[in-house]
Amino acid sequence: MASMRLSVKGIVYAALMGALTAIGAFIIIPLPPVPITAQTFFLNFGAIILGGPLAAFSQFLYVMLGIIGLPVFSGGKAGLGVLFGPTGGYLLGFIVGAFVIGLVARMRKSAGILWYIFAMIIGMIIIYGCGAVQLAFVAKLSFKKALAVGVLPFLLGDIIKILLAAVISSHFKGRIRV
Amino acid sequence: MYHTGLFINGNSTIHRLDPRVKLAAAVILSVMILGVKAPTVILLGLALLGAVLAGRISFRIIGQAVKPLLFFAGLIFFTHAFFSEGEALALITLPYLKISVSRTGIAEGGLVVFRFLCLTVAAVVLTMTTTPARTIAAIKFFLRPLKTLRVPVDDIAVMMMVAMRLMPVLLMEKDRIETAQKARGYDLRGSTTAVRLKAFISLIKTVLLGVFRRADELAAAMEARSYNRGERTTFIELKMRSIDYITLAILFITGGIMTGLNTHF
Repeated sequence: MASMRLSVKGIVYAALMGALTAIGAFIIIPLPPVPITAQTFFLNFGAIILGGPLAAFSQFLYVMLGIIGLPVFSGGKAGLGVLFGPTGGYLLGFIVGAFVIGLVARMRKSAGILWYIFAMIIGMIIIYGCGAVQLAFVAKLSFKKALAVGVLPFLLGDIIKILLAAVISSHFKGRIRV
Repeated sequence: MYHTGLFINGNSTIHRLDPRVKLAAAVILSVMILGVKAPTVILLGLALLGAVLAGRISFRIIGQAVKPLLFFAGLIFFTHAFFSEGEALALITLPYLKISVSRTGIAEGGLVVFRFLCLTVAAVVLTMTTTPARTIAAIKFFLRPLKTLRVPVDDIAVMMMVAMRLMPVLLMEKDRIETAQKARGYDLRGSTTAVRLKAFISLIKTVLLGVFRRADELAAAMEARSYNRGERTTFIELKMRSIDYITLAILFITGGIMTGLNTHF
């Protein structure tokens, strides 16, 4: 496992993507009817650019930024309580999801937009899966209800964010190397 | 728009506690809040109230921290109240919608929301009385066992510091580019969604290119100063004092008692 020696550039880029995911809470994508935040957009983008392990690090950093008290979780929330709370599963899902997206995206040498979209959809399924399981467990809801409360309202926005992220990361492909 | 966290300077006993003790306490309390039965949760709530008073945290500030949670808490409460399976004690029934509000649902929902409230307050006590840098030092301490798995723990602490420092820089970069676009007559008011999305793509691409350039500069600067991976010394030296050991002992004893009580209820 010599690969765990991160390059300085890798360290800085992972920190950068963690910080971008964090400030994604303040960046609004203009969509009717409800404008959405850019957080999962940066997650998807970062996973493609950084690859699996570094992407997982960057999301871990994002979660830690929230835990030390910066208001970076959705809706300006912060703190350990969010991680243990009903929506904490999404945060754990962010770490796992980013890892998988990065991994899947790098599986093909000549990956295009469609392959990126495929990778991101797998990642989103993981994120929503983790989120719904913890929501069901913590809020004592049945899994079906948890899906209805915690997944359905966000689905359309996330599809658009996936498309945006796939387009933009294919623009950046080959221009940014870690 | 942006503020750097919840920390509020103070000099109470809780402020001066070792961050590792506070972090451990917050984690243990959070697990207990979720795991124990109803009467014990209320006891835990009282204990948290004690911690809030000891930390001299004003209730107004706690209210601010709880506020973003309210929407979701309400959603969960009503899901329980309206769609609970235990329909035995229906209070109100809306015949046309096949929806009924049950007493068990309200009690269940109330308890779940109370648990969330306790969770939030436990975390708020930690973050309001500990500077981010000290919390990072504590997190680094607890991650140390992962070193045997070759996880670069020292690098993670550095990365957290870098990410924290980068956040305001990134927001400024975004504002700068937005302002620059507006100054050149870029006006999106009254345009269609497609145009707005296209504008968003061009904005975000410019911002991303800018921030990656900054990241490259930072990486080059770190390399030029011989940034070395591996064990790092730190400005913040954590030292356990007697009050810390006493707090830990109290935490474990009361935790044990509450777990014991929990099995009796």
